[in-house]
Amino acid sequence: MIKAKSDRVPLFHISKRDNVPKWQAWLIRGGAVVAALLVSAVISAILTDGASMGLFFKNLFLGVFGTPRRILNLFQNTAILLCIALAVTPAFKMKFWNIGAEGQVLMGGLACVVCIKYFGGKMPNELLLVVMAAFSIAFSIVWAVIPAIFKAKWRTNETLFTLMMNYVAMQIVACCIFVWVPSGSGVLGVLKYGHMPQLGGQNYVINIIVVAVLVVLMFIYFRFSKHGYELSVVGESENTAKYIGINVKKVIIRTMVLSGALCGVAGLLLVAGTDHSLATTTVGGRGFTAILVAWLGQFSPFLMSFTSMLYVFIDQGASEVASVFNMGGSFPDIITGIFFFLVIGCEFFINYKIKFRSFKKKNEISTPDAEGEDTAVGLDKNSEEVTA
Amino acid sequence: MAKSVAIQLKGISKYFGEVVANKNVDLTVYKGEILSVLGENGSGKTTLMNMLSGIYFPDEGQIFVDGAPVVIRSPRDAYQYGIGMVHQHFKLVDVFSAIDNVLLGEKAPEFALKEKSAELRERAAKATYVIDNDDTEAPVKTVRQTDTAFGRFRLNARIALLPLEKALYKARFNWLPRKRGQKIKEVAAKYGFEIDLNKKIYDMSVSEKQTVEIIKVLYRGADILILDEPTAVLTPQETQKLFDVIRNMREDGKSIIIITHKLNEVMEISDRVAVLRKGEHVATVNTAETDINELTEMMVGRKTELNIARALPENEQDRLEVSNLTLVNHENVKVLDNVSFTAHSGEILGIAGIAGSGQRELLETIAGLNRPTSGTISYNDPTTGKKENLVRKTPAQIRELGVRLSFVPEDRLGMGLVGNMDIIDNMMLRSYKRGKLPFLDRKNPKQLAENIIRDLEVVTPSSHTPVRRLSGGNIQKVLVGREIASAPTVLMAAYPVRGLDINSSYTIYNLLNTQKERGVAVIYVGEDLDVLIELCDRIMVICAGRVTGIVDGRKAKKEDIGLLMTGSVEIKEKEGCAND
Repeated sequence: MIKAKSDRVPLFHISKRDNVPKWQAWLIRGGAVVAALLVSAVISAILTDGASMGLFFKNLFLGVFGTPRRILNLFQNTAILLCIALAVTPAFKMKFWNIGAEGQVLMGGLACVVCIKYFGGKMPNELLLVVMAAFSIAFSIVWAVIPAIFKAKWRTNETLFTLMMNYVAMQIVACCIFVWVPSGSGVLGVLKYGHMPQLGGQNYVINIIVVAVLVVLMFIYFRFSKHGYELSVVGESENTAKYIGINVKKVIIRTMVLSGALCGVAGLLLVAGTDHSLATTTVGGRGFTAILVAWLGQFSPFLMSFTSMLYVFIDQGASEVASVFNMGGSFPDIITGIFFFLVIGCEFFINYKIKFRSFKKKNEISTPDAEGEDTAVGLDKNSEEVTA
Repeated sequence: MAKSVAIQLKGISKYFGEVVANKNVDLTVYKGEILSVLGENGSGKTTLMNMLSGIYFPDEGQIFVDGAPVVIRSPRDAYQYGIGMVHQHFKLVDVFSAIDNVLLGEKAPEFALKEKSAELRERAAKATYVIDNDDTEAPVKTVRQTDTAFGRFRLNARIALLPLEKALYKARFNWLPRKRGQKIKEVAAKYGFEIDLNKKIYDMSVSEKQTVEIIKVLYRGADILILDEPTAVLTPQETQKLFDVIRNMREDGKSIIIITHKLNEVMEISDRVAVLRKGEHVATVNTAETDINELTEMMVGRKTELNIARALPENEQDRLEVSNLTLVNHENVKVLDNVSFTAHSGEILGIAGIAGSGQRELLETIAGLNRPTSGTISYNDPTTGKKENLVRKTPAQIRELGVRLSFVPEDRLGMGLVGNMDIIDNMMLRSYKRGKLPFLDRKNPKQLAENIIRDLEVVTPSSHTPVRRLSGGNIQKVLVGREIASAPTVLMAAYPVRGLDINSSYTIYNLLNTQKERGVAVIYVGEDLDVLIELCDRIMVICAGRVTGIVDGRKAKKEDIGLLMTGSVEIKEKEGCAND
């Protein structure tokens, strides 16, 4: 019985492919985005009892580009997400799995609020902002460097450590808010002091400029600085690093200081630039989303700008669709899920090739290799059928 | 002797992307023979055998076992056809005993529910003749079990209980494997393996691990054994033992395929030799009708000089003095025990020993990667004439002292280079700290990379190619090239030709010789004794972290070194002489 089974050529086999031309890889990725849009449209049509798909697209884009305010929101949200993504990137390049950006940003934010609470109104706003920045960066660095020291000295697992630090940070914030607002709503209202100045009559512009500058700086740091080189050597192979005389412990701690400092900047931008308040949910999961953004952007600051914008675009657009169609809060999550499932999934087709068994013997036609585009096309066909 | 065909490969091809690993290979293996598959590195020996053992699936071609075409999709399929492979890197679970490792993954013969129940039904429906013995006159009665209600009930009950029976059968197989342990011992005794099967793998030496692998394959009933470079990690004595076992297996009618590139072993053990070159099958010849020169020619396509040029050392000076070096590792095992030697400028000092005797730790300690528990390492600076102590200094501190120490580590991609970085960035590993600015200088490394690619004939699309994409030989050229580029006074190389083909190996030997002529003290850790004897001026032999002797490379005999390697002999008095 087994013999009969194994006498068949396998239906398909998967082989690694190494040298995919760049344009082809991008074509596959582009195909995945298009496929994701179509699948989301179909899903939304199903969920809304067959509301037309055109409405989905219209509202998706309206939600993002409909008013100047929405466009500004897109950039502002992108800026914050990108800033956190930039913060985790050095750690991830060093293969230090820092999943504690959430907590590190929160600590930065907390430091800002502390400054506002105790120095607000006692010094000029500009000076206050400087003090806030210093405190915020210092708090975040402390939060990031604790796991780094433990990792460097005692080789503890940084993933669990940084994750746990998130919850500690949240509890500290909850505790502080309770102290500041002991009764009533328990929500810290909008703070009066420590607002970032407006530029060109608009909020958030400073946020965007700061992050844009950071993107360039981080690119230079990774590509052209000795530190950046050292951290990628440590990430690729600790043995090589030791062999050429890099002090691995020092690099781990130094890199996490940088990572923490950038989280501090993100905390500052969140509190002083946008929210002017603080809650345990201020970061709102962006500390984790940033990891996804950084991986998808292949740790290149410029690519990460695109991936973070893509994420915010989908999230914001889908929220608009959800509110127009009255679909509740989970809908944006469904849509982002579909997007990232397909966008990440398409990497498989970039790295591997699926070869189907040839059917030459039977009908003289061999099936072409299934590749990313094919799947994307296949999905297109499916959705067209549904439309028809 | 009329031999029957065990396996036949016809037109087998395998491609990895654009790389052709095997192309249109035809190969026949007879029953009861030892076939050597010979070829340079990258000639596709292992790939071919992996297709036989079910690791890879051939892109083209057909495999025949006992004359019938078969499809081998997994190692389990391969076992089905009696093909078992012992890989170069053993695939054993360290914390298991030998018996557990052999039993691991064994599948109980199928307990087919449908067939069993059909069989029961058939038996029940069959008429049984009841003969009355007391009354011979009585007519023969036929009785069916299904005739009576009770009989039918019994049948149905048994069929209903079959799944339970299956579960019991499985439980017996999976949780009570003691009896099978007995069977393994019988297999081991039959072929003359000397091994304690209850020992845990982590307690075993390399040769014992290999024995476990072979027993595993035999226990699974393999008639065709594939051994991938079985002697690479063995001492000469252990190799002989292995060969005896292999001969026993041949007597038993099994076919053995040995992948190797050691020509003398091919001549010694095999009946026939199949030669592969660049993925293609060149020829299969009877060992008795060929010689080493002919085989080499087939293997490399042209005649290569087997002799390694060796100049007499000139102007020798003590360059590196190591005395009483002792190193204890994390598990409190003495990996280096009172090691003393002196490396001279202008000579190649070979270090021989069974793999894992402390060679690697010795070099790493000199390079500043380990902190020895006691002993001194002193370096005589040829320019200043000063003595520098290198013990308890990090690699960076050693470099700051102006000690030009180069080190080609054993683990090329794990230690010497960074696989995902391109050649230029790998060049930079040694020099990136130069200059006061916090920024990198990529200009000089690029120049260096291009020089190395040109001078050492590195085959690469460009200097921007990640080194992991290069072949083993080219990776090593990049590494050695970089280490030589810093104009070292001491050059240490650990297994620099491991896994390299003959041509690349000679490139490396020549590079080492050039360095020696320039007055560099070269320390060469090698595994091939023939090469050590031909290349080195002196050979230091270590066994279990101790120096068992330092011999003259021009006079030493292979057997003597082999004895020193196993620690059965020690040259005490010579140590002093050699250090003079």
